[in-house]
Amino acid sequence: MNKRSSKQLLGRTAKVIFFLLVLVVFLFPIYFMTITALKTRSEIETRTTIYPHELNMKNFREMTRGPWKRAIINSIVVCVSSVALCLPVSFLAAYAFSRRPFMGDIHLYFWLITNRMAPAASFVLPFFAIYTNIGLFDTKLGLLFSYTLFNLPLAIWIWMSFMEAVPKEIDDAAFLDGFSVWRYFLRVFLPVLKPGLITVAVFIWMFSWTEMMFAVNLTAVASKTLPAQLTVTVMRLGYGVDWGMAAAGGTISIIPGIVLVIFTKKYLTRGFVPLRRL
Amino acid sequence: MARVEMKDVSCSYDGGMTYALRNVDMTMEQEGRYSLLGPSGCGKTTLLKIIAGLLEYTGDVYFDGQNMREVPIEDRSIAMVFQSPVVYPMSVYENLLFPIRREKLASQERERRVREISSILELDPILDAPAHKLGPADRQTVALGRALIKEAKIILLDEPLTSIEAEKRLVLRTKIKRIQEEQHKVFIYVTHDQSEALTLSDRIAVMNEGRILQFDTKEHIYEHPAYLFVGYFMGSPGMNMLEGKAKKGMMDFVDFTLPVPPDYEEYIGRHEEFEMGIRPENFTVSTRKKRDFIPFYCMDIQEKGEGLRILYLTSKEKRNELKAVGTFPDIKSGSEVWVLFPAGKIRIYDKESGKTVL
Ligand SMILES: Nc1ncnc2c1ncn2[C@@H]1O[C@H](COP(=O)(O)OP(=O)(O)OP(=O)(O)O)[C@@H](O)[C@H]1O
Ligand SMILES: [Mg+2]
Repeated sequence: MNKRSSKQLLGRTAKVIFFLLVLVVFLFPIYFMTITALKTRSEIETRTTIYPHELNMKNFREMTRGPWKRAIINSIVVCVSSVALCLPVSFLAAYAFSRRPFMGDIHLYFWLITNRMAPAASFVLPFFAIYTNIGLFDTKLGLLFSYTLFNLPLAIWIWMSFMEAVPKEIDDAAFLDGFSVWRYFLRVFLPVLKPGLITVAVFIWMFSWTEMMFAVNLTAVASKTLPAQLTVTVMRLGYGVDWGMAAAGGTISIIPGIVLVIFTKKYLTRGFVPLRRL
Repeated sequence: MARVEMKDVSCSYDGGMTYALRNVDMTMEQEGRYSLLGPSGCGKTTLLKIIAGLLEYTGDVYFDGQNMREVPIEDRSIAMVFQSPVVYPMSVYENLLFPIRREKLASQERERRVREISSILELDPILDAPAHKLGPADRQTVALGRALIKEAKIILLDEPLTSIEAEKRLVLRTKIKRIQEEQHKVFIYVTHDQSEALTLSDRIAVMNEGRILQFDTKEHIYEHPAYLFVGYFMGSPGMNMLEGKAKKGMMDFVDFTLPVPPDYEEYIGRHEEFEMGIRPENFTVSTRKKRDFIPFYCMDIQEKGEGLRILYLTSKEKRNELKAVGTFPDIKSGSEVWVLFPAGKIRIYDKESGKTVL
């Protein structure tokens, strides 16, 4: 082996070791959370081990019943309905903003965007006051509405950046060819905007899945979502935190994110790069 | 039959602060090949979109005498090809089929029309390919096919070749030309390339800054440009422009004088300053001094192709520069030459407006 290639090999090895190290640093917390969920309570509370000496499925079994099961179902319901509500509404709004100038459109758009500039906490009190009065407190519908306030502006903004990249001539061509607006959306505009559609859906889902401020404060029992349930578990001060249960809940809560990223990576990484090809 | 008429049409994108199109009056009497020629941003696309019904405008547009203001886009019997190639995200076949979906035709008839267009445009090999995955030239060909398959009376082509690679441009240009010969419709072709305008149309409207400066046959536009701008824009190189003054019954250009051509005697009698235009092909250039020839100095010579050469000439005191085009076999760069300005080829323009004075 000559000098040059041995040097190259050394460089390659160093690179591999470096990335392995990075990987370990990033993945270790997730690994530790997962194995904690699989440990027995006594193992967690007596010593720190890096693998479960005795496999314990009780924590995960607990996820399929009682408050945890309800929390997971609530989370899924709120997320699905958020996507179902915000996706079409934001699409139509973005289409209007980007393709159909109307009086005051810039001001309306700016007002929408400013909604996201205030912290969620500042909305909690008014929402709480209103919801307790009109019976939306501790309901999934109430959560859905409060999430919409935060989901819509971002969704519209993402839609618009994708729409701007689609030449307006395609609208003109379609109308000249006798498409109706709806037919045009279905057959031309949405297929072209597929990466945008997926990006918006993922963002809406992830916001609704991870949201905590409203979930904790606008619900009591029946409508707690997974993040709220986690918070309650970790914060039960004085009674001692049930680490195993919290770890199991945490592990479940990151699964949708991982799945979404794996299946939509292609579109998300392409992100906002213009789709000039069409 | 289709007659397109525009009366005092104006259009502004910013509510009247600036106008993309100003008081356009234009009539295309019958089917035939027309083009709109002008520099970037002069309002060509705007004019086409108004005919298509895609933009708001003031003034009136008539097709065959019918005011089109209230006529919806899809009922205008118009097809349009855009500057950037537009296809729908479906197969080439479906793209071609789309515009005739609405027409009440038997499905075999539809199929036949698609096959016909696809064979004219040589799209057969890619008929099943997804149109949006094709290269720009093929996408534009599909867009052209979509425009032609409709039974439209008016075909609008907005710089269809600009976004296409140079090698494929000529092929598509030939296809367009063939279609124009086969289909008797109104073709309005927009371009800023005069050679496209010359091959793909019979009458040309030259535009600048939102106005139509001249609308005429290409021969007439070339021979008698209505504006200095038109003379300069058409032709390569464009028309020579010299600033002149009337002095003692002659046209004075500081370092040489010319007699006033008979047609312009009256105008030059009344105006002290004017612009003179003359096409580079119209000079006679000699190596020896002759009667009525003006001495110039040849600074440089360029090959123009097809045996023609461009001479870059400057007058004695370097006050005037000219370009002359011809074979000029015995002229050498860096030598003194004598140039004849034929009186019949001289055009005089108003100094203020740049408009012809005849
Ligand atoms: N959507 C628009 N909003 C605002 N101004 C516009 C718009 N479209 C065109 N303009 C302006 O109107 C004028 C005419 O534009 P137009 O597109 O008709 O020119 P054009 O002759 O087609 O040019 P090009 O050769 O570049 O295509 C330009 O000054 C342009 O900046
Ligand atoms: Mg244009």
